[in-house]
Order: sequence, then structure tokens, then C-alpha cells
Amino acid sequence: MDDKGFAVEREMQLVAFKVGREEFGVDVKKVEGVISMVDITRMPRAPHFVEGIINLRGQIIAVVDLADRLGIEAPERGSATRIVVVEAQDVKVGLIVDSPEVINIDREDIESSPALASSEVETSFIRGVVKLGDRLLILLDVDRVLTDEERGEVGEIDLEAGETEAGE
Amino acid sequence: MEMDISQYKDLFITEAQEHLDSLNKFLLQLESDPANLEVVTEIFRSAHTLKGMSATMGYDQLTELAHEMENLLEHLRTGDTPVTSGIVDTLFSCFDTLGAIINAIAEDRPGQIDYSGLVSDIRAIVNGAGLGPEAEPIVVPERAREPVAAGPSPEPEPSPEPEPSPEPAPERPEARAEPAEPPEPEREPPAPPPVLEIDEAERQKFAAIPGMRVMRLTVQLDSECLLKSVRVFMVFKKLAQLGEVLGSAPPVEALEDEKFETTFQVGLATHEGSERVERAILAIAEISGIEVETLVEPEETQAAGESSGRVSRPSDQSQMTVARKTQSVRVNIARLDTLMNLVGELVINRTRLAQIASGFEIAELREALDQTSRLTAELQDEVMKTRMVPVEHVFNRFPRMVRDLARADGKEVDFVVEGKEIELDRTILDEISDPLIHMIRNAVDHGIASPERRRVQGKPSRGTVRLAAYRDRNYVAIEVEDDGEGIDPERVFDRALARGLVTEDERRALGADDVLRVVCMPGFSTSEKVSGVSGRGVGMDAVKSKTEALGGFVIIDSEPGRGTRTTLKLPLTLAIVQALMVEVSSETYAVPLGTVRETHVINPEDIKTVRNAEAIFLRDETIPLLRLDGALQCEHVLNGTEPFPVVITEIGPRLIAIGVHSLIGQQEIVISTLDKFLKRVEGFAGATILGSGRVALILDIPSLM
Repeated sequence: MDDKGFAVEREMQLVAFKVGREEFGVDVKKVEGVISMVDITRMPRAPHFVEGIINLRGQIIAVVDLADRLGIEAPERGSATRIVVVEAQDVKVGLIVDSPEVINIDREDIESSPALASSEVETSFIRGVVKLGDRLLILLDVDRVLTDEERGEVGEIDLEAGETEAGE
Repeated sequence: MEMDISQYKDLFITEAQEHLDSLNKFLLQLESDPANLEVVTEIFRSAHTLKGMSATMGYDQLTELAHEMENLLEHLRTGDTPVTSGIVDTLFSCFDTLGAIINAIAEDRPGQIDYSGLVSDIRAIVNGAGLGPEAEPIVVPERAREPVAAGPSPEPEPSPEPEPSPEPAPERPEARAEPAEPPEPEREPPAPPPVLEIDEAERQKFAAIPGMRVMRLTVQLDSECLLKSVRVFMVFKKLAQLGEVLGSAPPVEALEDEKFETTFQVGLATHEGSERVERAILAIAEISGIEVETLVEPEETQAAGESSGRVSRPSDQSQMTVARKTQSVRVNIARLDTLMNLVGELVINRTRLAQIASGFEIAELREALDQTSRLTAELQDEVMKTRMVPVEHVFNRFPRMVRDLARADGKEVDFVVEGKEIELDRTILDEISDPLIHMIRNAVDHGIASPERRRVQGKPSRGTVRLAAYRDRNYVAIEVEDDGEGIDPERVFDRALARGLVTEDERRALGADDVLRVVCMPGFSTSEKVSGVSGRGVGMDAVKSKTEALGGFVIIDSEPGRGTRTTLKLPLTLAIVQALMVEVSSETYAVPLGTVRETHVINPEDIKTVRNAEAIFLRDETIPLLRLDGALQCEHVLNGTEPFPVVITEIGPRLIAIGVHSLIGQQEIVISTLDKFLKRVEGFAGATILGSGRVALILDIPSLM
């Protein structure tokens, strides 16, 4: 009993997925569901990373091109491409990703230092990294995905604006 | 009472606010008719209920203030103290303070609101001292009786009417002799019959209403019941939903203090049958039994069967007592929204099924689908109706506002309200309440002149502000009209020029049709004396943009010296509208049909350039052209010589031609609102799900420009 309780506390479920060459994870509690790719309606005048909008069981939600948002080279979409619906700041939003799966990790394996992540990904989106054997998962801060200049704090704006420009 | 009553808090707040609304309403009525002791009784009744509710919930501040008010009202009710403008003002301050306390409770910051000054004012009045200079009885001009009169009371010449005569008004002998109507303190203990029997007048009143029964209920609480007062509160609450509570034995205070064994009696006037009342009460926990005695049976038995719809209101005094007694259930608005969404999806799926079925020639399938269509349409209609609420909900707070504004400005204003019963989608109604406040303030502050000036102009010194709602085809029109100064276009334009809102050239080009546009420019104000409340035009831009965001539009008609009428035309409902579907660069968009005037096909060579912008000419009108492909940064943009269709949209008085690639046709669409993230993208009023399951955006023309 005690053992089990302890284990439950330590264990954490993630939805893991790929974007380009990078692997990411999102706390399963933040995930509303995973759906196959559907026709996405372009939304003019929306921020560039918004691919468009879709009908999710009667609700209209935004779909974000995560590669574009994270500044990663856009991967080709294929049969493994899915939309992971997450809740970010009380708003449901779909993220375009590849090969999502649910995995269990040990909380102790999460390291907060973003320096470990190799990557092209902006550190502001990273909550930590998880080492799983030879895999390295970036824990994504989904609340930041919709954050733009208006929402972020001043420090983040500059950082973000600067890096976005540099990336483009 | 340590038990968690907080779950009743929301309910309490809603009901307390309703009581406050009726308190304000009745007090206004009293102010215009100070001799009407029946109105005093109504105020007393509401104040008393409020006090009881507050005590049950443990809100001491409310209880105490309501209690003090009750003392004062008791004096008015017995005729010991005449109704004066000073007393009316004190009561209004009490209501405002009660409102502030209720708000504080609602926001979970039960800070100490200081009402000690009020309490001493009340006590001074009750003790017959210190009424100050305003102690004169209110004198109401004869013609001001019917509409709600607002304004400073005229010269304090003593009038015979509201004399503090010990003689009660002859037509209401019971008001003085037997103050028996409301949940009454001074009734004899559990002896049941007297409670209702004495009040023959009241019985008569209800007997006169078709389908109304008067009942005496004997409610038995579980002997194990620990929180008797909570159960009592719930019983009263339930009964208030079913009809009108006519008093109890033992009196409410005793019930609240749990000074009774396990049974108590309540009088009830209701349209419901005894069975339904029984069931409703027995559904409350820890109620072990109920006995119903019907004292007054409905006059016409067939009328009793009508359980739906509203009470047909007799136009006499009893109207005010029955006004709120419709049978209803409170439903969380979120539930209604969900229901609406589900129906919306059903409509979409129906369309989709019909599309699939059109590919097959199966008679049975078509028949079943037709049936489904009919049912869906009916369901949709019913659900929409549940979202409709009478404009009364918002209109009711305006008489008080007009009174206060008029007093502050030293003006005399009759406020006339028409069409209270007109219904609007609840969301729309919530949204327009602020715009209406602006419009009414404008009418009082700037429309109506001072009594002296009006007399000089040969007008009656009392101005009239009229607030009216009425159905106009697929719209509901709400207008605010005053018989005041009117808007002088030339003055408006000069002012705009002076404010730097238009250039000299533009000023010369302005004509009468431009008044609305200029008045609605942000930062415009023509008032010589800008009052603390509003300057003409402050807020008009907000009124216009809010109305247009709801799919409606604003019209201003004005004649200098004669008055101004501002009209809002609003769609009946937000959720489902007719739309014209258009296509640009293989993308589908919806244009709400309410804004579409006509469609045309134009040749590129007919496009002119006016002030660096494209425009088309149509029957001598110059209409600005908005090419949708460009405005929406479409992949494929028309620039050739091929003719293309335009949709002429009418936003208020303004026409805009929308250039598209093709017209798809007219269709009923269900509006889905956009979440807070997507809402920030300008140009769209919402989205809709097409029969194919794909999403199409609904254009918001004004914000596209």
C-alpha cells in the first residue's frame, strides 16, 4: 500500500511526440485528446504560427503549427501526423505533431536545466528535459504556446521578438 | 449555524438583487403616488423577505439595515408618518447601500460598509425628529401620475392629499386596520385559519386572477431535523417559485429563530395545483409531510389547466403583486449555452445527412429525414425560446437612473417605458445594457433642457424620455426618444471641425446623413456644459460598435428643437442566422444576411478611385469597395479584367461593397463563438460549421475595413 502510494506520486504520464527531429512531452493532464489530421480552415490575420481553425466536436479551436511556433525546421506531414489537443490558459488548442504516444516517466528523471536540450528550440518553451535511455524528451510548456507579445512579460517579449526575428 | 450554507450564496445573491429591483421599482411608484399605502406594503414585504433571507444566511449587515428600514416602513404603512421626499431619498440611499453590501458578499469581500449614518437618519425619522428642509410631503402634479415621474418635487405648497391624516385611504381600509398581508409578525401563534381568513381583500384580489388558487399549507419537518431554519428558508424559496407567499404562522421571524416545534403553516397564492405544490415541497430534504388546504379555487376551472405562458395581467393595482408570478425554473445560463451548442450540432448533422441522402433515391430515407428536419427545427425553436428573456430585466433599472439624473441636473423628466415584454436573446440583452445607459443618460443630460428653458421654448416644463422596445421583422428595435433640444447638424459639424475630427474640406462635404457618423466619432462632445455623467457623444462610439458587433445597427433621428430618437436594431437571437455564403480563392466565408442589401456583378472598368480608395457607383451612390481576397491575404487574388460579384452590405447608414470570387448562396448557419485567443483576430464575428464538417468564418464587415 505504502509502496504503491509512493510509486503513484513518483510516476507521471506524458504524451510524447515528435516535431522534426526533436522529441517532446506534455503532461497528460494538459491533453484533451489526440485526433487525426483534418481539413484546417485558414484564419486570415491570425499570427503566422496559427495554421487555422477546426471543428472539435462542435467547438471551434485554433490549430498551431508547432514546428513553426518552436522555430524548428518544418517536417513533412505524413501518416503519423496528428493533432494533439491541449488546454493552454483555459483555451483549447490543437498542436500539429508526429507519432504521439503515452509514456510513463519517473518524476525524478525530469531535469530542469534546459542546457541539456541540444536544440533549436527556444528555452522559453521548455519546462525541463527527461532522459529515457538514449532518448531525450523536451517537456513543453503548453501555456507558452499561445503566448504572444501582448501576453508575455516584458523580458520575454524582447527575448521572443529577438529570437523570432533571428530565426526567420 | 456553522453549517455550510455557502452553496446557497449564488441563489441568495440573485434573489436579493431581484428584491432590490422591486424595491426600487415600488419606491419610484410611491414617489409619484405618495398616498398609495399598498405600495408601501409591497416595499415592506420585499424588505421583510430580504431581511429574513439575510438572517438565514447569516449576513448581519444586511439583516440589520433591512431591519431598520422595516421600522421606518412600518411607520409609513400605518400612516403615522407621511411619505416625504426626504424619506424617499433616505430609502433610496438604503437600497443603494443594500446593493453595495450584496455586491460585496457576491465578490467575497464582506468588508465593512459603513451605514451608521443611514441608520441614524432612519431613527431620526422614526422618532419624528430632524427631517430637515425636505420634510414636505411630496406633491405630485396630476398628469405625472401614470408614467413614472422623476425630478425634483415642485414647490412645497402643502397639498391636502398626502396630509398625515390618521384617516386611511378610503378604498383600502385593511391597510391600516389589519396590516396582515406580508409574512406577519403580529399574528397570533400557530392558530392557522386567521392568517389568511382575515385578509378577505387579498383573497379577493387573487380570486380575481384567472387560474389563481389560494392555499394554506401545513408543513411538517422531520423530527430529527437539525437545521430547521434552513429547511424553512428552502420551503419559502420553493414556494416563491411556485407563487406568492402570503404569510405564515408562526411568523417568519419565529421560524427563522427556530421558535417552533416541527410544523408551521404558510399561505400561498399560486397557479399550480395542490399536487404539484405538495411534490415540490416534499422534494426538500427533511420535510416529512405537507397538508394542502385550498381556500380559493380558481374561478374558471378551464383556466386552471393553463400551466404555461404568463399570467394575463389585469390593469388594476393587483398587477404589481402578481407581476413576477410566472411559473419558472432557474437554469444556469451555461446549461442553456450547452443545449444551444448541441442543437447547433444537430442542425449541422441534419444538413449533412440531407446532403448524403440526396445521392440516393430512397423514399423511406427521405421521409424519415423530412421528419427529422421538422423535429430539429422545432427543437431549435424551443431552445431558442428558452434563451429569450423580456427586456424588462434590463429596463427595470432605468426609472431609478432617470430619476437620479433628473434630480442631479434640476430637470423634470417623465420616463415612459413601452414594450417591456418584448423578448431578446439573453446574451444580447446583457450586452446592450451599457449602451442603453449611455443613450438614456444622453437623453436626460443633453436632450432635455432645464424647466425654465423649456418654458421659454413654449414646451411643457416637464420633458419626456421614452424607452420603447418593439419587434420589427427579424429585428428587435429599442429606441430612446426625448422631446428635448434635438441635434443641430451644423452645430455638430462645426464642433467636429473645432475638435479636429474633420478637416475643413471634409466639413464642407458633410450633410445631414453624416450626423450619426460624426456623433459616433471617438472624442466628440457638443455639450456646452459637460456634466459629470456624460457628454453627448461620449459613449456613442461605444454604443455603435457594441451594437454592430451584435449584428445590429444604430439609427439617429433628430429634429432641432423637437427632440432626438436613437434606435438600436438588434437581431432576435445570436445563435442561428441566415447568411450569404461567398467564396474567395477556394475559401468559404459567411456574410450575415441581416447586413446584406443586394448583390451585383461588376466590371473592373466600372471601379473608380475616390480619395485613394476603390469605389463603385450604384444608382448615384458611391460605395467603397473592399476586395475580400486582398483584405484576407488570400493566395489567389483577382486582378484581371473579368467581372466579379460584389455583396453590398449595409452597416447602419453606411454601405460597403464586398468583392468576392463567387456567390455560393443563402444558408442557415449556427454561430459558434470564437475563444478568447481567436477573438483577438480582427475581422470575424465568429465561425460556423458547414454541412461538410469544415469550418467557415463569419465576416465582421466593420472590423475588416
